[in-house]
Amino acid sequence: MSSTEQGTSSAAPAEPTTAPESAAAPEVPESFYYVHGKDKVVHKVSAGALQHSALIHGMISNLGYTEEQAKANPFPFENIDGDILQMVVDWCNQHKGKPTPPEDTNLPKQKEKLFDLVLAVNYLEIKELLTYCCKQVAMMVKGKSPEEIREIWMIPTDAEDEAAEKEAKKRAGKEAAGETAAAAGDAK
Amino acid sequence: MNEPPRDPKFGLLKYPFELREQVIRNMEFIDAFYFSTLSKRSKQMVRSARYQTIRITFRFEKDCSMDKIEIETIKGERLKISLSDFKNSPKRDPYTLDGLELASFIKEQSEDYRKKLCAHLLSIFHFNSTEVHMGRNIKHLDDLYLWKIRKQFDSVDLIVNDGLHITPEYLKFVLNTTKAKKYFMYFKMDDLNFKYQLKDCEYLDVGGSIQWLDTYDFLKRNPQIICFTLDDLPGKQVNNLLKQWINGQVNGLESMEFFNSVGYPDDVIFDGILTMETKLTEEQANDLFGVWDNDGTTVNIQRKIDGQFATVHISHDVCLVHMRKEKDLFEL
Repeated sequence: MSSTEQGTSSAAPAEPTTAPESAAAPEVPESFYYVHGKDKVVHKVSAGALQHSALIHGMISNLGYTEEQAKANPFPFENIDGDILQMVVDWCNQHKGKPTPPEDTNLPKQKEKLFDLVLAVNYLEIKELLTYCCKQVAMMVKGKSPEEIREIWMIPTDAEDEAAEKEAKKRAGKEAAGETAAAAGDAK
Repeated sequence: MNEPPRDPKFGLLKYPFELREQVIRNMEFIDAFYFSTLSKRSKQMVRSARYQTIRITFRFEKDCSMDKIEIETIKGERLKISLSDFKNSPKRDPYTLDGLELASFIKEQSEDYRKKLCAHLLSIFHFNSTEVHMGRNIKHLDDLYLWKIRKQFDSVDLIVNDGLHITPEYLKFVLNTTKAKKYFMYFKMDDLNFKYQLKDCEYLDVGGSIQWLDTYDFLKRNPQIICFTLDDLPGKQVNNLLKQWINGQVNGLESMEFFNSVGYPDDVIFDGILTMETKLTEEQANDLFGVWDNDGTTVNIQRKIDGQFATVHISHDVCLVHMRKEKDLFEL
């Protein structure tokens, strides 16, 4: 498990705290990396746990960072909220080096959190967690009527889709006209 | 006064395409169906997601009020959707969904709800196997809605129990209007002169009446055939089919099985055919045929064009023929 502490936006992040990684001591000293989200809180995560993320694994596989270099260069994920990144890091730690169970009951049930978690997991390319998350999203509409599904997932009607498309076309036309006028002004 | 907090919304359409599709693939079948009825866009999304299912079977039962669709999904779901026509109230068990109600969610106009529902299902879901079961003589033109949507199926079975008889016209209708890899035909036909030249099938199973099946040049007309089982085919025709294989082109035929309650005399089956002693042990023969009788006849025959062997086993009321490659012999 990893714990975190509030980081700063400065180049040298605050010293993060760590928690025991696993009961069994690894034979080879494990390397650690550091990540932070939108809130700049730095999370110390083992390379083993980060293997779940194809994106981060690809980034670190050729770096050969020393502990000090890794600490000085946390991976910034500015597009991910801090609490969401915390969930992802926790999941990676919990499932480090373990076969992933067929269901994960610890995923958030709140719609907003789940929505952001799915986007983060998709971005970080964590395949197993993404599968769980997508199942969880699908379960949101299990046994619901069509209109309830429309409400839960905010699916527009055909008329609304057509109106939005018209609006988008109108806006694009206006923008294009504005650009043409600006270009003509510049030419004068 | 503070407003109560609103239920946060979950904008599925804000997800990238591949993520939406993954969510759809994780939905229950019926939820995905409902989702597809919400708009043109949602319908297209389900289609693009290629939601996988094992099979869909359109069942035309003896009693048309029992007509239904059966769907088996890869998640192990087995769904039944009633498809009785308007004139008959459907007889349902509690686990059967009402097709009329499901069709009411689909916005397209159609004179027949069954056609609308079948067309929708076939257009949005990906079925590994599409099958048709016909358990009655279809006399009403209304029942032909399925053929207006699709004529090609993986499997067609025409199984009419309880002594119902099939007319040549009806059989011609079924076989001429469908194209399938597998045909299962179990019915009675009184007309002894009618012949049908079935072609381009891969699996065939015929019982009840057999005289309608024209076996002349059968293997030539069905070059892709893998195995077939025929009940009550006269011994002379079995002999002719063996000769078709011996003298024919290389094909992928793996087995021919014939069953006849009066038995198959060796001299009729092997008339004009060179047979060879088989080297199969009893254990190998049991493995190959499943059912093998030590008192029966077991011999090899050989195809001329490439020298491939087949083993023929005749016993009591069966004649089993299994084509073997050298590799299979080695494995045995």
